[in-house]
Amino acid sequence: MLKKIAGDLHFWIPCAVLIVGIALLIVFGE
Amino acid sequence: MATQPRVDRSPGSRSLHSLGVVCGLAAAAWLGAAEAPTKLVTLGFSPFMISLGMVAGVFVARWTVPMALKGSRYVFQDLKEKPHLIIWAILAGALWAVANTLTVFAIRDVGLSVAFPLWNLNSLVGLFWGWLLFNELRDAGGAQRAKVLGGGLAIMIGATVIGLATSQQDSAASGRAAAGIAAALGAGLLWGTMYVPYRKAYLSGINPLSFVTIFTVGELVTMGTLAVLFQGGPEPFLRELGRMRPALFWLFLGGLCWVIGDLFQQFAAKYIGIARGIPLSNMNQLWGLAWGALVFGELAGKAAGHQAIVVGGSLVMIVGALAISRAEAPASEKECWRRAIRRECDRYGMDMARVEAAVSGEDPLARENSGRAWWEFAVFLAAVGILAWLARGAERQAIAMNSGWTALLIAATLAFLIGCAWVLWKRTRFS
Repeated sequence: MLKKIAGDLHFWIPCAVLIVGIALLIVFGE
Repeated sequence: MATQPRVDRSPGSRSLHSLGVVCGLAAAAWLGAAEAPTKLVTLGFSPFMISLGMVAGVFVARWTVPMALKGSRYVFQDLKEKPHLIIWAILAGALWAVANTLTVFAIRDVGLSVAFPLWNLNSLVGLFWGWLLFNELRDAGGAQRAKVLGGGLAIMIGATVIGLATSQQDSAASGRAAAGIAAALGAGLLWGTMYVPYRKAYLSGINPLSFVTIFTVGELVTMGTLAVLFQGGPEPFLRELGRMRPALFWLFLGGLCWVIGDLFQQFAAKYIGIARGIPLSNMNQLWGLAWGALVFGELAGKAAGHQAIVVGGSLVMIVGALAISRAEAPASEKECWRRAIRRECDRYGMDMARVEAAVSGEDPLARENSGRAWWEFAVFLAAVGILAWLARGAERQAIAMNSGWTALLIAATLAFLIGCAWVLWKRTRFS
């Protein structure tokens, strides 16, 4: 199942956006 | 003259569109009502703790009404059939929690009047993903597309006007403007992208009650982690939690309203897609305004011109909602949605006929899973017990409220709940 999810391009879009969000929290959240 | 795509006028198709629109409007009422109890919370708590209190309320409330509707056996079987959606739901919950936290920083750094219009872009982000990834608005024809885009824009502009006019806070003149703008834009991007897992889930035929169950887990874990980190560790976190005890009931009550609103939002995303459903549920701004202005008197003493702007913004939002409610997807667009369903079925090995049945409002799973386990009643009672225990220790905040308007708005919100739940039950049995 994990292989199928990893091969789904759609999955990486929210993942990338979540990483951007966490990065924003770390950089600007002080 | 260009030929417009044919709108499917069959009773089933038409009732599903109307059902989705009603769900979007009910979502707005309940998401807006969720703001009211939080206004009763005394200021002075960390925004993270307030968010966490509400999310914990969402988690507990999840085990009351929704579980009573379908039961956990059904939910677990639904998730077992589509296990990939567990990860998608956790991802959606994490996106919500991070976005919510970013709004706190955005308000602190640039003020609500600048931050709100920026994160309000989330409906356009959702609309874009719906078009790009899930074939929404494709082959829809110019008229339908114009209604959805125009309606979405009108709701966004109206909400922004209301947000600006009701903001109590001036733009902060801090040296952190760039950080605040980045945080607000980030929140809009995260919330708009959160609708990708939503649509993914409903093109796979999962029941919104099952999806929300896992969503709340992702939300609670992420929000809890952020609260502990930003409070400076477990010890200060627990100290603050103890200090919040008298206010927790109001936050939990807000969470309960939020769960109901979110469930309706999920049903809207299921039956009319995110391009149409999300702008409609973003009408919650209008309900938040009604609670603030009519019950808490937040606009009292404002100039007539100021109040006229608020009324104008509200009317623009209503026109936008009317446009979207009349933008039913034509048969050609539905065919594009069907292609997206087939793609999901091929990728994750799901039965196309079964998924299509679920997407069209049937409930094949319910025929195979009936009855409740004894422990479900115990969990239900425990959840109700937590709410009752918190209510006992709640302190009534010294805030003036108009009891007439409170009763009227509660009646209107309950009417949406009962009316929408009735049509959902009648047409789909909460599928």
